[in-house]
Amino acid sequence: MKMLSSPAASRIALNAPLVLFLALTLVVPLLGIVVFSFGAEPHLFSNYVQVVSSRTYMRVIGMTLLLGVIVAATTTALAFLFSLWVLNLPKRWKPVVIACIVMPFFISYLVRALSWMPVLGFNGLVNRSLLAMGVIDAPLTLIYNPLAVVLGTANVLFPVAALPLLAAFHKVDKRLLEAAKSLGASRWTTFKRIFLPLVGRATLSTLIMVFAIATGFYITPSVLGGGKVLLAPNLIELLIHRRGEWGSGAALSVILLLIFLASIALAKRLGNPRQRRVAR
Amino acid sequence: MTITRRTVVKLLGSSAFAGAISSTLASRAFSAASELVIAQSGGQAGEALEKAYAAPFTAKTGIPVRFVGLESALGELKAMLQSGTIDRHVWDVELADVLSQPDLFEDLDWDAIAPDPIFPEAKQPKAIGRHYYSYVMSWNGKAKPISTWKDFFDTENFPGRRAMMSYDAYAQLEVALLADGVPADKLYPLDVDRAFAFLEANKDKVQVWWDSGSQAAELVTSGEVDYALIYSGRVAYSKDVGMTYNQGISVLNYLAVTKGIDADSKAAAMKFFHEMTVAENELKAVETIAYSGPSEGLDALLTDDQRKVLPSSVQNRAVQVPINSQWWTENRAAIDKRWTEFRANL
Repeated sequence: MKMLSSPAASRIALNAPLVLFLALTLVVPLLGIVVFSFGAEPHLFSNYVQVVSSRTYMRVIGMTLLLGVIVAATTTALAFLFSLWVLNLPKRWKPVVIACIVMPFFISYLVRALSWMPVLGFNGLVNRSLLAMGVIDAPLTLIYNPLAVVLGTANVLFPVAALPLLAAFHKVDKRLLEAAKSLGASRWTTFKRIFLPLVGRATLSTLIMVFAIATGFYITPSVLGGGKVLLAPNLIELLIHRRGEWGSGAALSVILLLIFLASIALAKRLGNPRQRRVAR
Repeated sequence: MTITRRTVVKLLGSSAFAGAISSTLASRAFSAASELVIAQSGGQAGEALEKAYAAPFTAKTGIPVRFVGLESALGELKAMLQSGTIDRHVWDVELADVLSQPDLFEDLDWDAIAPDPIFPEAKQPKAIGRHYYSYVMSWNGKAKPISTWKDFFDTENFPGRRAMMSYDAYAQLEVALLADGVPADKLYPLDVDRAFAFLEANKDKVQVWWDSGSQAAELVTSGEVDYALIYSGRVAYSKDVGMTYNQGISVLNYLAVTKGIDADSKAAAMKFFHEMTVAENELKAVETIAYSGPSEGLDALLTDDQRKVLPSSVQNRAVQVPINSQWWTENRAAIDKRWTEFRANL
């Protein structure tokens, strides 16, 4: 009883299960991957050399980062516009709209990727309608290409981008915007000089977070890429699961992990909007 | 969002722990020959194994059989041997696994197995044939039937979309060479350069490269593609999809035994293997799955319809091309690397 009454002790006691859980399920396997990534022959870094010196692997990493950037940019831009729209909605409508974008969270990535097929597939709704209307005479390849992977990933990550932006936008003190207006600023000037600086960092960190998640996506590229878009997570699956090449697969994982960590560190550095208020 | 994540994390945690605990308990309860533990990849094939062979084996010996899941035989077997505790006795393997890592597997005692007549390729020093499957061509009900791999790549006479396997060159190099006109009896050693050149020249005819057998079946059944290279068992019993064993690349899947297993468990495994060679038991297996076993007596028990759709019937054996596991064992590493390059440039 006494232990629990001290706030520091109770904090430790309450967090212990979570810390233990994370250590067992996250830290230990991660260390395992790091250990696997170092080879015995011919030298410690041979797996890394193999990955970095392979044009194929580097191309795959490059493609993964490129698609990640495109997904992050488009998703964040759309989420930004969406959040602006929600910000100006009447209060009673906001929970409804937010519920609508949170709902897909409860549907698995696989199902969400597969559900594009009846719409955009060769036999899908769009192709069948266009064929029936005589606009085309052969079905268009609407999925099974990099664009479909971008579309599918952006679709899945939209709520992930929208929620932090919504939170940041609603934290902006509306009186500042009203003050700007009363001092004669136009809507555009208010947006550019007052609103944007207040949400800029949150937007940037959202962008980087979406990028980090997008580059780790596995199911969506697999289903919507038609096997033709080989991204790093799929290559890791191929190496480790299909072929049992733990060394090169682990080295590739570690390289990707470092890229994620670097982007998350960047996001952190750019700060969250709560801490920077005081300075300016 | 926080709540969702936490709930998910908690759920994952509890099931992971439950799993860990039950497997610890299971391995503790385990003792020699009190049960036979078989690691296999599951699905309908696992169900067939259970009904057709485990049931008569347990009825005769009183030894229960337990099936555990398997992702990669070599990886898990190596890990198990390193841990020093043998908790799985029999493994679902490809012959290439056994040929490339013979030290992981025990010699079989063929005298103890005392097999009924089975095809010679099923009798290996360290492995016993379990069932045949085949990489075959299949087509959607609305597409024009094809009969050769040349037709499969002939988009002029057989227009339509195609699907092939994304993750492996295995069997697909053979397919490419057959399509390019190499006679079946001159396939090995494979002309790898020619096979890749053919695939490179024809890759644009293939719209989808599938990641799993179920995806392949779904693609060709729904008409998303018109023609698919596919595992025979995925379509053999299908009413909506056409297929032929002609020029199918036939693979025999094997079972093998953990190296260093105790004598009682090994004896039990040999008795289990005997059941796999009995034609009547194999007949039972094909009720569950369209992969048939290596018994020479099975064909006589089949109906005409079954002979048409099962890979090891006399008529279908005659038209397929058996894969050369020895060749693949020797060349696999280099080809895997090349396949990754090919795939990254699709």
